[in-house]
Amino acid sequence: MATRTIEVAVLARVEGEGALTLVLDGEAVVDAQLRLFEPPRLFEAMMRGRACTEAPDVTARICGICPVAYEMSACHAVEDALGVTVGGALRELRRLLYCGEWIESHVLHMVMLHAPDFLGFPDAMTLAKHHPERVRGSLGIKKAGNAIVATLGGREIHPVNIKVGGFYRTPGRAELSALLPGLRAARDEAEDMLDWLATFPFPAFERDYELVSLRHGDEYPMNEGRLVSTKGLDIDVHEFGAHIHEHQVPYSTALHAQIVGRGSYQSGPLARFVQNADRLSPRAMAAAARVGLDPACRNPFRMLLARGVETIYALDEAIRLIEGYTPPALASVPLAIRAGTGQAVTCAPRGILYHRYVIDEAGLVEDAQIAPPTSQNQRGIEEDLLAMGPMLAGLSLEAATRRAEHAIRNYDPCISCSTHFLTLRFEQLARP
Amino acid sequence: MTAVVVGIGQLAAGDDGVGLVVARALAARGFETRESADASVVLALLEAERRVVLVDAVVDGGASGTVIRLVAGDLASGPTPLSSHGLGVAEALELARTLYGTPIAARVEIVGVAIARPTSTAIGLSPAVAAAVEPAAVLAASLAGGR
Repeated sequence: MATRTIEVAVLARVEGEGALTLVLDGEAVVDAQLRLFEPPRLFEAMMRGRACTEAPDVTARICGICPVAYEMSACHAVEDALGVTVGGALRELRRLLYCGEWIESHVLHMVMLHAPDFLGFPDAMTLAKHHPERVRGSLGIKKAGNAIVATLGGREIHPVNIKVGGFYRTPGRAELSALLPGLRAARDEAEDMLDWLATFPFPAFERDYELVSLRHGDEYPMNEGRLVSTKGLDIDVHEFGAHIHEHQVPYSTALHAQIVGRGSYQSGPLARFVQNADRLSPRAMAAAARVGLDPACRNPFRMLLARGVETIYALDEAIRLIEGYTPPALASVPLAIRAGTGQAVTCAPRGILYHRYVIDEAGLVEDAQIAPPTSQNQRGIEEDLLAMGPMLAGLSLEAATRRAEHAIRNYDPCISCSTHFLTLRFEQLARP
Repeated sequence: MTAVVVGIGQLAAGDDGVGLVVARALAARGFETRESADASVVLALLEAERRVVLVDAVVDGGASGTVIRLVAGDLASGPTPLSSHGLGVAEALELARTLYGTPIAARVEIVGVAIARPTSTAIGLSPAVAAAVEPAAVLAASLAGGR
């Protein structure tokens, strides 16, 4: 039996290191293994014995793209254990901070990392030569997001102003209002960008996913909500462990996750959009309608458009929050340390991020569990590739390899979060 | 207007942090500085019509501690693709030329400090590289417009 093998030394435009092996037998992909060989990060063990109040700063180091997500899940989980609720303007500032991260993370992925796949360019540098105005525009949008994070967080990456209970310092009205012109310009740019993204050729591919996201009573979810799915999951986040099990597979340093009794699921911008489109701002809703993205969508390639709609939403929401901002009396809610277990799910740009901490009476962490979105999405990515056999079989090995990489990047995988380049191994089994 | 001095590097990678150490030395002398683990900050500064003096560690640049003035064409731009990890200096300058044109991209001066390739995490500079901080700062200051 002859075997054809392609080795791609660097699968670029993902965050982290991993490899993929695909084995094709005619039109069937008989094996798909996304092998994330990023060394284990050991953050859960690192948290043991440390003060629970250190969780946001320590876990933020898991990711340079989405540190806010780690800070938010850590804060909410520790606050859950301590019986603390953060409301009012502090809650709104956290939401504003998350808007900043969504904007910068989404636009980086859409234009610099993913758009080259749709347009047949090898990299963002080539894209910049053909579409310099789009790349300039995306950098402008990203700058507006970065400015939010820098203003609220003290710096753009790994913000230092976030603490359990709120912030070390909260901004005055004028500081936030200064962001408005940049955000309004970025919102216009993001509308243009979405219209451009919508002109891309989207491969015809759908799967019957179980889409999992938060859903909140009256807002597009970021920090709070129930965990819901398109197949009937509707649970309080405290029930996460009873419904979602993580397990080790031999070929990956990141745990796989599945819904008990059903299997893999997809989390991320498409899942959020599908289940929360009615919670978008009128402008973001209109943008989704304009580009033909509706909640019936099950095409993972069109997740690009969900990201674009969420970018418009995050800009809109940031503007709304700033326009309505009244500085809080206190920068943080006072904490009383006590023993307990706390859990939280928040919406990282790539999907749901679960944290659980067991805290002793001295406030030290006895046990920590962190389930990042890329880890949760791994099996779903493999199942996409397994289902793509007929699409891949008709392509040259080179084109098939590119398409497989394109499909992986639908999920904007953040490999070092979940456990850095991807080496792609593609095998074609010949029929006997 | 004096240029912004941008130190690039990673303090936890030993001598790779030399760009940051030089930037801090110049900040203490009143220069406007930025510190970054990658070169994307340069794009924002160029877009804002600023001149930039970039200070970074250089491997294969001679004996450790050698201070060199570089031009963009000196930098190897191998097949290091743009990733979410950030931009390398060569990539940032190429992107700047593409997006903003050669005259704007030419507003970047580069000071390199030769180091041996870091092989493990370490805090602090080796004696040879530490001795290069002052000469690198003096060169960067003269390129930035003095003070």
